[in-house]
Amino acid sequence: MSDLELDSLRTSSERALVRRLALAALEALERERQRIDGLNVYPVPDGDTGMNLVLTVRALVEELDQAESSGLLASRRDLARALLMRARGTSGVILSQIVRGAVEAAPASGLIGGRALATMLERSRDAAYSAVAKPAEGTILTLIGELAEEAREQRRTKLSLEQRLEGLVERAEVALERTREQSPTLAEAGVVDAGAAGLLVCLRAIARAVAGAPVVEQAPLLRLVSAPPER
Amino acid sequence: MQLQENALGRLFVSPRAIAQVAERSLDECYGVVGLGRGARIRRAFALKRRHGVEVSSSEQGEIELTLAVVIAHGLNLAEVAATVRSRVSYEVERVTGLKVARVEVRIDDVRSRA
Repeated sequence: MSDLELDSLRTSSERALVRRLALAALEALERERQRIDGLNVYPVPDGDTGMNLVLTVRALVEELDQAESSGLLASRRDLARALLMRARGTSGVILSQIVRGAVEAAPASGLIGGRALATMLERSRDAAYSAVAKPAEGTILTLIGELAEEAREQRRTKLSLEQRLEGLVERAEVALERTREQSPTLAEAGVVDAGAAGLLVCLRAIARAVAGAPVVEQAPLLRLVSAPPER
Repeated sequence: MQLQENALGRLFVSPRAIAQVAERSLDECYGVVGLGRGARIRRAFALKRRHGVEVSSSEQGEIELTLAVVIAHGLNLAEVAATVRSRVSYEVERVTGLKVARVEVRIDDVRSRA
């Protein structure tokens, strides 16, 4: 982490872009919060995954805003620390590791090609997996693993960033659906994993923001439950 | 520890079994990369200590756990400890049906996964 401190988001357009992406993810999470909470049966069925993810991403947005208003540049390390300090719940802590890995591996020039995207997601995956003794399948960890693999497969293709992100979203949708069978707890409850669903929500929002599409017209979050929820 | 009593007889679970359940759920706790060595001074009322898990029971027959863990470097220790507490007490209550009255989480070390 040696050279990160100096490595700020230099230009105002870079800062604006990072903020726009973070804000898109936050808004999408806030909209889906209750549905994500409703999926939360693992590791502890306390229905707070959606809220935890919202609080964690909000910390990121606030850090960016604070840096902007105080006239200081937000360094990558500041962002990582804000996420670390204010990550909530298991899924929030894992998400903070995912973002930290990606931010640390992001190229300084700001241009993200196939190779850079693959490196970023591989770092995300490694950071996420590095903090658990026995990773459980069918979780947000499984999803980031699939995303890293997809980015690696796309690496040598000639695609635009929009197309790459679209491919990642599609891969994530399939992977999310599969979590239903990967964990006995989820299978029994007939739901997909809450944390993984949250990561897909973020990814989709970011993909739409990058493509310049309004985030609000987001596709529905899959069939999240096998049976209609009892509400 | 007594689980239930009815006309057919009584049902017991050993502290060792409880420690084993706790240990297994610790393995899957995000942020936990190892178990600590447990309390240095073995407390008189500790029924069973198994690696990082110490099981004792309160006078009301409720479970008390002390967990000694090693947490991954670079994570928010307080947040990880909080999730460890809720995860382990949930698992132990789910498996045994007994109430977990207290969970103490002791962070013995912070390190990167080997």
